[in-house]
Amino acid sequence: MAFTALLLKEIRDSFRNKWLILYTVSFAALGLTFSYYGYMGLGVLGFRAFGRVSAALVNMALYMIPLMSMSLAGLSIVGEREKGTLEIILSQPVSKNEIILSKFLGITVSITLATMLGYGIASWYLWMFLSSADLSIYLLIVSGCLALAASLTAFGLIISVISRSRFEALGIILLSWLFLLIIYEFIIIGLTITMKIPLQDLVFLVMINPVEAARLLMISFIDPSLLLLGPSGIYLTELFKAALPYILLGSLLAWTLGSLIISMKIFNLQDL
Amino acid sequence: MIEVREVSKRFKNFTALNNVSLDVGEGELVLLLGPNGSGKTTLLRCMMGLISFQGKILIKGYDVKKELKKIRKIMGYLPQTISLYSDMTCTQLLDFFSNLRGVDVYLEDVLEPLGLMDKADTKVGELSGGMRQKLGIALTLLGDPDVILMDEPFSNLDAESKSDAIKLILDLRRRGKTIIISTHTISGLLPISDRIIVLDKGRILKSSRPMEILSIMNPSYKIHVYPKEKINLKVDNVEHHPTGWITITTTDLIGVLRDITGAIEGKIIVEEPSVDELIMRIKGGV
Repeated sequence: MAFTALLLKEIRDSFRNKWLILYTVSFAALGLTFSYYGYMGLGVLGFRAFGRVSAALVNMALYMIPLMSMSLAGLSIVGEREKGTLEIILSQPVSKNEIILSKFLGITVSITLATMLGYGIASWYLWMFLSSADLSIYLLIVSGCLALAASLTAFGLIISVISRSRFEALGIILLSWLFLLIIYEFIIIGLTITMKIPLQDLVFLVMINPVEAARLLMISFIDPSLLLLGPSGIYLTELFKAALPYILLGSLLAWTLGSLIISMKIFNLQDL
Repeated sequence: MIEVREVSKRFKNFTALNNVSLDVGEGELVLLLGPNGSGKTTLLRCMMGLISFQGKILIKGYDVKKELKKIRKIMGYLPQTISLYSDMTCTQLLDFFSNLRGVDVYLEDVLEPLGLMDKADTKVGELSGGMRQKLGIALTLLGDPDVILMDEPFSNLDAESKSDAIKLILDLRRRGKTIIISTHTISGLLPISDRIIVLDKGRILKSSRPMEILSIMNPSYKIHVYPKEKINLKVDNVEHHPTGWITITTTDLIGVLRDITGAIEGKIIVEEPSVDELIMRIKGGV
């Protein structure tokens, strides 16, 4: 009962968050735009409707979901601590683990629902052109978004428990986002050029970044042969064969569980 | 009911509690007195299991370090600074906290005694500081806890609200609740408390019945009077104001009142001794 109350409050608070509302609206607007132009180009270029649209939506999700997940989660506990509401919540019969779990589930569910709504509007537009194969791709991409949101919400909770103020948390969130999405790629490219690291090590380095793992996962849903990625894509499919999506999901799951355990451990060791 | 054994708490270079031991019996009302930084809030937070500590605390036989959920079910806690979710209405807030405690609550039972019934649908953020404090007291009492810890419950309350809150505490005491109140204001609470524990620099300076504490402290009172005619007082500390008022500082309250009866207009104003002064006197006396 206590956990349900915390979870419902978290979902309610997330949906009242102006950033999540902005995210949902912009996701829907961009999704609809991509769908419209993706469909318009069909006759000329002869591509499948959802393939092109979904690739654009995946790229958009890869930028926006990490930012939203880490922001909502990263500011949650430190925000309550700064406002003073954490003291009165912790004086109720609830454990710190329940607080972490309710925040994790509440934020993940909210972001997934917001993403589904955004995708939903795009897919509604494309509904009449979608084949059953496209529909399954759409659902798989949504599940990929869910996995990405879960892993970075859990990571955001670590940021929230270690930060001393919301300002500090925001700084760490933005740096983490930049690192995972941009700096990490430069590091990989730099390492490849300067150290000539073997391909299997490169694959490992790519897979341990949750954003890259989610990118590969969602591309594999659209194009299971990973031809879109060139020779390295073919190498990946040759190396892992049908197990690739499960390995990538495993990486995201490991991030989720690992981050949750770390945030709970730190939170339990802290005063208040 | 409450056993505190050799509890210590350090924050980096500051010792907030230093080997504190005390017992509070069932149905006892105890006042925690002490200057700022004496360790009152830290002690209450340790009892609630909100912060880690060295030593042992048992509440109704439950170990704070091991059985936190059970303890929090039987305890109500009012923090020093009450921060509530400002976007919720009073009703939503009470619903949320009663769900957290796993209890069914009738709004009238909770809001009526504190005069908040007409604010049931008002957002918490729109309430005055005093009303928020009262709502905090209401939340503390949700689920009828056996042990109640209140940290400065009268801050932000005006005289009328304070009087309402004291009536509520008196009612809780009559119903056999165990209550610990950390406060800077002893007036109103002194006659209904069983014991006063004085803390200073993280140590217990004194733990006695109120009358014993008062006799040790021999507090001085400030009496403000407006005499009709010149009065001859056999006290040293008399201050004459240009407005005609006289301020008398004395430890012999009854003697002075006897002397000035009949020589004043209006009411006599007697200021209660400050807690800080009382503590200084205890420190000098022990």
